[in-house]
Amino acid sequence: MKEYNEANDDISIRNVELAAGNGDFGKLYYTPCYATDIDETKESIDFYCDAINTPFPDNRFDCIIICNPWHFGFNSELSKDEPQHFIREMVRIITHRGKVVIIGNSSNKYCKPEKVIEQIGIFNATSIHERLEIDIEDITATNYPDYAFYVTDGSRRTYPNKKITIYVSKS
Amino acid sequence: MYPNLNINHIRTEVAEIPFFSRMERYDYDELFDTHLSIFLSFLLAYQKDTHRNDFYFSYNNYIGLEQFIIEEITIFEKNKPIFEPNWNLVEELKDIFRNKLMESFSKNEDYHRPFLRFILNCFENYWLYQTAHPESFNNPWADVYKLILKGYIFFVTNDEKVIKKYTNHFRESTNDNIVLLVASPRHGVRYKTIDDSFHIQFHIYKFLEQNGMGRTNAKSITDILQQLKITESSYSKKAVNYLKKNHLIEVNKENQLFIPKEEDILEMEDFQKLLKKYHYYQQKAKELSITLENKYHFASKNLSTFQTFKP
Repeated sequence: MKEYNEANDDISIRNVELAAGNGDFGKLYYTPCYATDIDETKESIDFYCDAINTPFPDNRFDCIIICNPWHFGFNSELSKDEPQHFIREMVRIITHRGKVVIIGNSSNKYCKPEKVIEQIGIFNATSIHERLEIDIEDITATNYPDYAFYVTDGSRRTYPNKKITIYVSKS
Repeated sequence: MYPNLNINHIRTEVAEIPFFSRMERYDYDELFDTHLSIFLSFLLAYQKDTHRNDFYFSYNNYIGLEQFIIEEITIFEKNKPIFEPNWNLVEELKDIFRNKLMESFSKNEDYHRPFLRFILNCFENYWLYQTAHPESFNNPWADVYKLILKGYIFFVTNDEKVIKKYTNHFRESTNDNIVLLVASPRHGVRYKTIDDSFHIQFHIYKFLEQNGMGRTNAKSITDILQQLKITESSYSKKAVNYLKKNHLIEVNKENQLFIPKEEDILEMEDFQKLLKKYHYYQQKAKELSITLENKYHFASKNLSTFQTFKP
């Protein structure tokens, strides 16, 4: 298992991709970047990591990248607060003026723009020291011509149509 | 326009779910297998761009298919009205169901968490699909929704540690198929390993795509299994039955299998009966001055353009 610890952390690497699976989107477009996943059997990952409870210290990264999140993110689950836990975890490990980049499909219930906007609104209404700004962009396959996105089981290509960027300010 | 849904009716239905009453193996056996077979039928009918040459119902495959169906929800059911899923309504229904789960399992919530999480997710997917395709007969979550209404809680996993946490009787699986865990406070936890019939379904269908397109190329099941080096068994029978049930393949009078082409559909006995009935009711509607075309979208389509696959 590729467990994270401070001794094997290269702090010059300022970007991290969460739930990378077998993909290397972060490594290609946000280099240098760590690839992480909850599935320890994925060969290409640098660290084993649960996206809603990461092993990283506070303010560790400048940019977090997430492609096609599934079963974590901005959809309410058994606990209605789960999206807020997720946002708080992102905000915890990211630096002041850092950002979270989410590439996904507008029908993906875990990163549907309306759900992201709603959850960011809830976060901003309750947070005293952090403020999040959101930017949503339409994308097509031509935005990332060198990259093929795949669904979770890796069997089939998927074509994300949204890029959501969340900018983080801390005081 | 989105068809009206009676939320109060659903609220009552959810309130009446008998979570602690019963557990009959034949219930969850059949309903869960049907759910999986519809999942697989979406893969076979719509995922033409994969390079997949084998298929087991592994956890990753299950989740991948779930993601595929939800993300591409508007491309299915081409002959029926298509709506965007009603996300707000689904959120409201999910709240009703979540509250029911919290009330019912407040004592052992941690223990039951994976079960409750899974069925809440199935409940949500069912309604996302249903609000996108209100007239569908192929909602992939319809059968697990029935299971939920019967009071079952369940989840799927590939993780042996998790399975052994819930049951001491687990015998290790020899393939990659998921294991379904079903719990009931009265009966404890039972498990069911998903069998190889789905793996066989995949190969029979792929074989017919290559060698059995159209009535004139029909092949006997014995020939197909021989070519695929699969032994005839209860699993192969089950595989053929599911392929037929999901309208992926048809059988001719000699009991040979084929993937129907458009011209085959027009010749099918069932289709001819349906067409006759349709013309009868069209005539009746005319006599009563009812315009079927406004009421039913399918009626405005030329019946000869019916697709071979129902969704």
